[in-house]
Amino acid sequence: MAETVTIDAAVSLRGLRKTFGEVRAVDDLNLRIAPGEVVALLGPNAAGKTTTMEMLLGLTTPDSGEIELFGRPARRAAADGLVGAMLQSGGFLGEMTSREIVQVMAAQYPKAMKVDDAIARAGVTKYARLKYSGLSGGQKQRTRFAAALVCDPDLLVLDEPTVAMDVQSRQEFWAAMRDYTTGGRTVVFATHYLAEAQDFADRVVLMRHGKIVADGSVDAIVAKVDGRTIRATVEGAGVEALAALPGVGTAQLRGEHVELHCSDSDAALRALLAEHPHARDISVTAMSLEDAFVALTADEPAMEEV
Amino acid sequence: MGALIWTELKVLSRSVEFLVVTIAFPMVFFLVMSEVFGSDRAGGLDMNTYMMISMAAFGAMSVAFAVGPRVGLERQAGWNRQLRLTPLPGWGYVAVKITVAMILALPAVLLVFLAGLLVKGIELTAGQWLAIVLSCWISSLPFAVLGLLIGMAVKPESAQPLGLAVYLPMAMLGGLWMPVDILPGFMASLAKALPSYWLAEITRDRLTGTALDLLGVGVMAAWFLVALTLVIGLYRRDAARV
Ligand SMILES: Nc1ncnc2c1ncn2[C@@H]1O[C@H](COP(=O)(O)OP(=O)(O)O)[C@@H](O)[C@H]1O
Ligand SMILES: [Mg+2]
Repeated sequence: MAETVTIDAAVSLRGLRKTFGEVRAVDDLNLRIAPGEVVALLGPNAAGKTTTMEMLLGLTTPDSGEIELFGRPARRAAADGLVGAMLQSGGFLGEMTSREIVQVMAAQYPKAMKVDDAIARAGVTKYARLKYSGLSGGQKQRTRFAAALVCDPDLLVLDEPTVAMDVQSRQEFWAAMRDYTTGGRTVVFATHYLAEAQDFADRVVLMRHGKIVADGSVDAIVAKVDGRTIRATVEGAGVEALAALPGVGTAQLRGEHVELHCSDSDAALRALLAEHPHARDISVTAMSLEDAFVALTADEPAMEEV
Repeated sequence: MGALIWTELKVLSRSVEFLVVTIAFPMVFFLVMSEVFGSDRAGGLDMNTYMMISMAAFGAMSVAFAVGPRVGLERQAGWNRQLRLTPLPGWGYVAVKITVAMILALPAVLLVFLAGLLVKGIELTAGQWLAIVLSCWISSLPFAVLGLLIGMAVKPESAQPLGLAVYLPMAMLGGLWMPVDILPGFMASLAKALPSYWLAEITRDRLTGTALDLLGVGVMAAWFLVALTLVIGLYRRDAARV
């Protein structure tokens, strides 16, 4: 990995590992995030997103590996007020009001933004004086966002920030986020919604079983997975031979039913018909992003990185 | 840290149960108990004064054992994890908790003494009142740490019950509900190892003109230091999700 000498990475994770008993939650993870990047950690449940973020924040000690935020240890970066976070399992006391929560968080930092600013940015103003325990799931999330925001961090770490939000709150939330990141701040957020990653991130890091299976710009990931699927009935075909056809990424065979996930479906179809002229019931469909996401994170051998 | 202390005090003061059960109850208990024991003398003091100091000590303990185990709730909510992401250092968190317990112990102690003065007509000099307030208050420090230790040591949902399971026997064996002389011999000697016994005893000594008992100070200091060491160790471990 090439290291830049001049600018410290906002986040630098090297050889990170964490096991819980038999489970390899994070397995030799390397990730470097430049200042100003907005990165989505995308992956299904149990992919290791939360564990990665908690190690990054210094809440969980890795079994091995190195973590640096802006060139310093995680705890130091937090003490310097550089990091704001919305944890999946971080919460507040139900008896406190949203405003009190944000206020007390702000008081911990030497240079926090105005409490009312953070509350306004996160869209909490209307219910700032209600007790946290009485808020809806989405309102709680936004209160947590305000609390993460109030220290005016250089790095925002958000673990599934829109969980429990309805569609409208979700849109408002991302609008507020966009507002915030135009100032060149670094954001890492975990999600299992492909659409969120696509709409909001500059870069998507796809995780599965504690490993990174794809890492690239949103365009590159979309291009990689934006293939088509050919379905056909073919007699006497072998799955390996099918997968080896030009333009074919992965192949599945169930009886005589062939399913080919293709990067170049034109080439694949020509090759298929050349080898199996009797192939019938042929259909070519665009693979949806959801399909692609499933294909990339399914229990198959790891794919190469983009 | 100031903001955190202020917030905690505000939150606790909203809880009527906390105010009534924890802070006011020892005073009520004092008024009832002093009727029960009547006009005997104990430990060189009249019974009213004796019980007043026992119950003030009990009040100081009650607060510590109510505030500390609440940390269990905070751990459950994930509040302490959130605080860990701020510049607040670990010792700062521990100091906040101990300070809150100490601040709230004061009204519990004062209420009992006030009842002694106004309802029971106990007459002491201003210097004596000041001496027992200070003695009772400062001696509640080991309990503030002990309560915190319980809140941090066990599963969040067990913290409050365990707090009770430590605090009630400690109050009883420490002779806060009835004079230690009434207890069987082995219990009376056990009492001398408990900070609850010394909390009351050292405070009573302020009235009988007895010198500060160094054994008592040593026992309380030992409880304080051991509990504090454990608390600091546990704070480091506690980053894990619960
Ligand atoms: N504290 C823990 N104890 C035991 N297993 C854990 C713990 N935290 C995470 N895991 C396991 O590690 C794996 C990754 O979990 P996690 O990082 O929460 O994934 P994600 O956030 O992507 O859903 C899962 O299999 C999960 O069960
Ligand atoms: Mg998670």
